[in-house]
Amino acid sequence: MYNYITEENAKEIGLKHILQKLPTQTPYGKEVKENINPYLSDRIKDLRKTLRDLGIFLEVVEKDYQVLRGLNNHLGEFIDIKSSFYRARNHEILNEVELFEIKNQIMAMEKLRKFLRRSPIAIEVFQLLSMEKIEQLLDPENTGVETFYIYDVYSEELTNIRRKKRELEEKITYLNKKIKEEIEEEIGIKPKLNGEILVQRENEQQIEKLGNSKRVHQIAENIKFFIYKIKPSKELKILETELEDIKLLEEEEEFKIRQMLSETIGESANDIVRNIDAIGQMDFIMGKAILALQMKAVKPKIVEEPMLRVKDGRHAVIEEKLKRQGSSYTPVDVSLEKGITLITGANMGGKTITLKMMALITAMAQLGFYVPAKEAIISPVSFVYFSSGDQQSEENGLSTFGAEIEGLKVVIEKADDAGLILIDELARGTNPLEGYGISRGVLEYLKNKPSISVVTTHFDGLSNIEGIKHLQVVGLKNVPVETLKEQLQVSKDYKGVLEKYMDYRLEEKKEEEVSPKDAIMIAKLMGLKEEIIEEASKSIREREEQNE
Amino acid sequence: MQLMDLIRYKYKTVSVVGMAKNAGKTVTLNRLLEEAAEKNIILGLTSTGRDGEKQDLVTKTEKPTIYVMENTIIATTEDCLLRSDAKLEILEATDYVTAMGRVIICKVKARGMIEIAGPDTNSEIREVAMKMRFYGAEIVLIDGAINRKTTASPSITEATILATGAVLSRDIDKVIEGTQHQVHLFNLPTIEDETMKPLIASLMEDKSYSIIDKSGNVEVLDIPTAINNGTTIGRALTEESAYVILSGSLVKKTLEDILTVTELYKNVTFIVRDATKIFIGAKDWNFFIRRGFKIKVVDKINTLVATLNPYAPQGYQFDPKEFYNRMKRNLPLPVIDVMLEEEEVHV
Repeated sequence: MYNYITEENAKEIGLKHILQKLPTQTPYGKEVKENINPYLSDRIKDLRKTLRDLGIFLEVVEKDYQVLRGLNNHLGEFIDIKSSFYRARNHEILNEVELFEIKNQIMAMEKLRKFLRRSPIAIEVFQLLSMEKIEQLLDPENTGVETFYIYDVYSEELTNIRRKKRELEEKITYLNKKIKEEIEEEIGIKPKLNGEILVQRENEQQIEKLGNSKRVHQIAENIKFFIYKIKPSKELKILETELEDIKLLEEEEEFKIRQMLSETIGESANDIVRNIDAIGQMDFIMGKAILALQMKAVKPKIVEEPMLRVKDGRHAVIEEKLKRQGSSYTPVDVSLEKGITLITGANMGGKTITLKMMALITAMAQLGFYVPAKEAIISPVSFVYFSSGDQQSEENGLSTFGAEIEGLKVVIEKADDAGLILIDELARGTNPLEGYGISRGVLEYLKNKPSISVVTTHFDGLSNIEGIKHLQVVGLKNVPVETLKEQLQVSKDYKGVLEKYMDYRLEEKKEEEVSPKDAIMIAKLMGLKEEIIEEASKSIREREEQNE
Repeated sequence: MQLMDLIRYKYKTVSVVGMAKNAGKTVTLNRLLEEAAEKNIILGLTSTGRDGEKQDLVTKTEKPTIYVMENTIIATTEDCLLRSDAKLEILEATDYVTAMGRVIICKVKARGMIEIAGPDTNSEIREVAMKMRFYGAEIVLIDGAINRKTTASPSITEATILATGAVLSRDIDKVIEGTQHQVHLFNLPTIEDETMKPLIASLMEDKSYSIIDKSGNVEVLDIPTAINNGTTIGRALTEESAYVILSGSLVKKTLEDILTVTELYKNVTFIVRDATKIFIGAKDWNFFIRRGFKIKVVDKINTLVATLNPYAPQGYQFDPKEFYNRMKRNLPLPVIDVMLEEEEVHV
């Protein structure tokens, strides 16, 4: 994943957020999500299939929303016990708690399998292997109850041992009770539960009786009492030894049964793990589907020749944020090919967001997600690079400019690899003359590379480089200044007014033209001090006159 | 009359706590198990600390083991379960993790001995008790503890049995005084101001130390514990202060420090979560109360009965009759000698 996009970039363009938002029900689905990798150009077929599968699933859900609810319920029961299956496969012996958990998981698998038989979904991973054999093994009395016990029916031997054990226990209880009753009758004191008899020193008669009795012996005395204890009779002693022996036998037999159960589970472990993988996959598909529904996303068309064509593309994360603030996102069309595309235009015209949108939609498509747009045609790229132009790299002691160049250096090396290179306000961190020069150099270099590169800039004169495509944000140029002024008088909320009139769409420019000077107007609208605005306008007029 | 008669049909959850190790808690517990078996009551059983061990690691005194009968519902840890002598059917593996593995709920299929070690926190114990009731336990017994180490408190159960005994002191007067004091603390009044209750409960949840004034404004004090911050608390009191919320332990030093800096403590009520958070001896307690401290709790501990053990593992013992009679005279609740089983419970 990080060869494709750096962690920092994944965060900046919103991919991290999208992955966080993708819901999973099971630990297995979560694992699939965490190990997700983009499909590159060598796996176009697989990518198309993944997207097709998602489409099939969405179709099923659209037809019957209950399927989603049913799946959700069934997937809720899985915990991660893969390691128990691996242990069984390695001929290790599982303990009772593990067997209990396996029983639960196998039963949950069977329930899910039966649910999928009633509501079939024509995707491979939604076909589970039958676990009937294992289910029967762990529920030998066929009760359907999810609890676990080493049941008597596992072996005749165990049944016999346990019966004998019960009989012995009953006999011992009976004898103990009998001897206590007899002693109570004989001496007149009821022995305690643990077989001790307390007698006060002054009760000489009882003490004498106790002293003569063969069934008790004195174990202690104190100022107040003599304490006697019942001597276990020979018969009882024998019975107790027998009970100890039989308990050992029971342990041994239970161990044998656990061994048998573990072996049988181990033999099926590969099938079980296959089901687990399928469950992870279906959980992940379900997550992608939910995300697609939430974002009103569409299936991207995957092509081989390098291009990125998006109709009404939206940046899902920013859209969500705007929605929370009560405003809406303006969808933007983009159409890019390999080589350079230059974007110019107004400040606050959404250039940065559009760049991020390009990056996010490309990455999402390559991860097998639907994308938030009306239509999208995408070719897999080998990497996505986004330079925000304001990154800081304090650990390396680099300034904004330094960090930008550092990143550029790396990506320039990769430009032959057919990636997606997005650079926001190239070289803005330095003086305009040199910034212009550096930009020109980068553009000239990238224009003949197989990568799709997009650069936004405020520098004039870059669009006349031969062989590059030039897009401009429509911005405020179609809005009369008077209208804006009126609006601002009505409402003090300049941001709202700007958002209302700003046209974020891109239009292609064929001939070289000076970019509109919106910056001063926007600053003015935002209420920057009048005298500064005047001075700024004056100095620009002087410059232009000089140039002419 | 038996212990179970005090419980059955009245309480669904009962905790057993000991004043000290070897105060007879496990004997009491075993006796409850015996009585339940006799009456065919299905019990749920769990613990806030570890119990049922043959050897008590601290004093090396042999302790009675927990012997459980068929159908008893048990919540114990994975480790204890796998070592159990009783045969168990596993009903549920909970998410509650302890140092000895997860807490597992099971049902006894064949009688035998077992170690019980339940979950660590109040809310987990409450949940586990509910689950055991769901699996068919009529009464849930919780082997509890009153010490600083456990966060779980007997206040989460409907009733509490207090085990006390000679182990506390060689001086019978001290044992009686100590027990009397503990019962007194358990019975401390709760806050009666209904409007303040939710606010105070939420401040407790936040584990904060704070002062509420008469109009309900809260000032949260920036201190981690009350133990060395009595002066800070005392200085923060004003004429308007009404309640001081102490979410942690209450110790002697805190009250002493407050005494040295202000008189205003007489106008406020100090609130602790429950009596197990108070670590002040009987003499000091009486001193503070005479000086005008008012202390209340959020959760009351409903003490049902005190069980007595006149024997101390150190080798000495009290005259059981005398011990019993004096306890009975001094405690406002039923008393039972768990060692002398023929003894009736006198109400």
